[in-house]
Amino acid sequence: MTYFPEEVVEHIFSFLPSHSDRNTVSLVCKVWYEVERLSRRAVFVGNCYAVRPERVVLRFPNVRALTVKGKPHFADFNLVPPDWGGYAGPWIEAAARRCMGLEELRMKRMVVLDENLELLARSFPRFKALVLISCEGFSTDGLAAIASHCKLLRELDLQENDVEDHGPRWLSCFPDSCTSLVSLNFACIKGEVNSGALERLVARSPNLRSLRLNRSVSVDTLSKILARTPNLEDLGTGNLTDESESYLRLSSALEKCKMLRSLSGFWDASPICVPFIYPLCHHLTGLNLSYTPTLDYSDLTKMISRCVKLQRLWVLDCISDKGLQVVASSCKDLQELRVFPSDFYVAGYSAVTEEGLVAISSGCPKLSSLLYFCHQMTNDALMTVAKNCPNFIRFRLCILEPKKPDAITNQPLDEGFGAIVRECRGLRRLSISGLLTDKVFMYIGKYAKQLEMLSIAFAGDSDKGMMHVMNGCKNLRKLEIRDSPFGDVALLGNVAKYETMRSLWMSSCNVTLKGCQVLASKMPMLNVEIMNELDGSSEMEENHGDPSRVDKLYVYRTTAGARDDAPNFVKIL
Amino acid sequence: MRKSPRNLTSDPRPTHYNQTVSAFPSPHLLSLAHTERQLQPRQPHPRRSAMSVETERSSTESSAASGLDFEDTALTLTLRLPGSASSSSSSSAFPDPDHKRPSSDADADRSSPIPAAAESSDAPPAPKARVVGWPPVRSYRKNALADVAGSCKAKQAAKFVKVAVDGAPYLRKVDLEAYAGYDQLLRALQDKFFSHFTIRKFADDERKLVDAVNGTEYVPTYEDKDGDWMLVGDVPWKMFVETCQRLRLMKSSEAVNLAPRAAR
Repeated sequence: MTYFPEEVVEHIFSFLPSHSDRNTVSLVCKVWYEVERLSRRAVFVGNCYAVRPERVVLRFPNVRALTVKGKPHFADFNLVPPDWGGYAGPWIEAAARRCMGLEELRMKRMVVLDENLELLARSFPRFKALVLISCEGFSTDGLAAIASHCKLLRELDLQENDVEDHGPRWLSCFPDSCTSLVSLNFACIKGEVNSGALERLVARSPNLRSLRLNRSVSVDTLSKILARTPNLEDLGTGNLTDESESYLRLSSALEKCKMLRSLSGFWDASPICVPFIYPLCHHLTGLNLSYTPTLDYSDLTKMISRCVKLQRLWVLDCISDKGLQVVASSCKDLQELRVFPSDFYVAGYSAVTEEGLVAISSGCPKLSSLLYFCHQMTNDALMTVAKNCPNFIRFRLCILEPKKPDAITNQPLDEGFGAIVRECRGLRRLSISGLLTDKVFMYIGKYAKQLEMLSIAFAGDSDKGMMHVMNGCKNLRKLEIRDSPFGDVALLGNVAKYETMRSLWMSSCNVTLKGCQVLASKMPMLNVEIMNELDGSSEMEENHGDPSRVDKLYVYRTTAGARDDAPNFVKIL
Repeated sequence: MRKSPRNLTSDPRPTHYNQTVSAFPSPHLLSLAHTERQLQPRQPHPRRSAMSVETERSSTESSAASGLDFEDTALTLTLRLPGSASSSSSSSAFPDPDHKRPSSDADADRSSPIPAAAESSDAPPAPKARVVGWPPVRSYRKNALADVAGSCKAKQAAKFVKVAVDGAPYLRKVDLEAYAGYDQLLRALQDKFFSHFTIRKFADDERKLVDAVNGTEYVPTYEDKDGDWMLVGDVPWKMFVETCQRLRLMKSSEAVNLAPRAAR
């Protein structure tokens, strides 16, 4: 094929949407490498320290859409110290120097400063989409810069970021003439927004399809907005605590939005608001009620039972097993279910158990993605679930109390999770919990051939457990382990594997400094980061037996060498 | 629904009102602004932080706080919530036997509001060690839910009263606990509940609520625990919060007849 003119090769490459296919063709020969790199429009960097930003922009100068991910996943749960790193600045600066054509930037778990956003706003004349997920470090001032300067902005999506609020000014900074906004999500911004400014913005954004408001937006404002957005497909409401008069207005406004397919928000939703949502329900494919502890079982089920086309449901465990049975009998198209705990402070208690999950699995055969926080589980239930829903791609089960055995037999849950990996051949993501021995890892290593990400907590009894996974899961990219008895033997059992993986996280396991040093010396392409926060102030923290034990270990492959922005509690071996 | 307006417009009420008002010595007959000025030195803001927090809750719930200083509110929120009066007591109430707990998590806990639920007496104490990062729920989600839980908790401590406006077809509610004094309450009534109202300042610093559309003036009145209708501002704010059963914005023309202003 090398005899084709380059233009033809480039055209053929344009039919390769997946990054991995493009990576592969770029390895064929120098010409293909050149053609591929100059025509690459979308670049995904799964770990911001795996490659230097300068290198990326040099290789792909024509990139339009850049995605960069920062901190390890466990940062979501406060296991990564603040100031660990993951800075967006170098990426935006590098792109600003080389890739003027950048149109879309997506970042996850990164530290994005206002000055970064300002540079971004001024550097890319055709900039269209900014998506920040679980990021921090910026304020509404940075957003104001984006709103003022990115005249072509179509998407501003702020998901679960920690945004410092400097007042509602930013929302008034969008262009005075028509905006290009298609999607606006500011649900994570805590402060008040000016309802007048919001209404005006919506009024001059005729293309708006997705709008997610924050908690400060009142029912009245929402009603006024909806009157101006008849084409809205995705709505995140503001707070829904008001008296019935306002809901009547909301209801009639909602009725005009014939395209609405997805609802979220429901901050502080009062049960009074629920009936006003009913008329919409039979169109909905997505429903997120996971920030709504104010609705109980009967409110939730009355609403959800009308959502017969629902594909994606996020809900709190207030729904209870009984409510999940209603979901199972109503939502036959359900593909994704997340059930979150509503109370983290009553340790180990949740209103949902194996019963609810079994009901869902028998009623919703299309279910392929699950996140389920529950009170208890049994092997029987898991086996039934595996039989009923063999299409799982993501299966994340969290039994709230660590190391809790089968609720009926008191046995480990090895067989149950074994059934999941055996039956669900397409499984790519798995989180396990409850009482588990090395046996479960034997099953995972043996059957979970497509598994890409595995999360382990409080599980296993020896190095053998982790070895099963390391040797068996051929497609494994991310492995994260906490509070499990895996040590140096497991860590060093298959060191070549780490070069095929994106990262390994181990915290509160049994690995030692020595083991980590061996790993680092054997594998120069890996960064082996250890974090011990035992610097004087924490002297009172009891020594857990072995002074050389490494509290937190983060291993990742990299072409960039040791990073130079590591804080002093991070040691790179 | 319309109970209170009916009470007011029924015959015995105005008379009773009149009697009640005139039965009091002169200070409470002063205009609201005067009363307020008198009250203020005696009303520092001892509960400022707690009140700001409640204000925040109330704003999300009834959008009733635009007149307040929000920066202050936000700042206070990060420091303290009602029911979690001292973070040290909360940490001792939940000793963390996880000795590995790193300082970072302590930081995270400090910066995130400790949910009131954790402190409530009906929540059983954690039977086991609360393990850092377990259950694996994003801190963002925890904080957001804690905010909601906090606001629900605070709601129980809130004092909602109905507000009737002469001539308006419906009642609204305000949370008296959300305000630090009469001034804030009036501003909230103006800003959020009856947006076409303005507070008109008179030469002598007296304030009334004025309907900007038709020019009607309203005098805020309230029903106390004994069922008597009084002028808002006649007692110290705290006592008012305790005794107020409902509010009525009475047309000034009516109220002038009821509440003699000669004392001014």
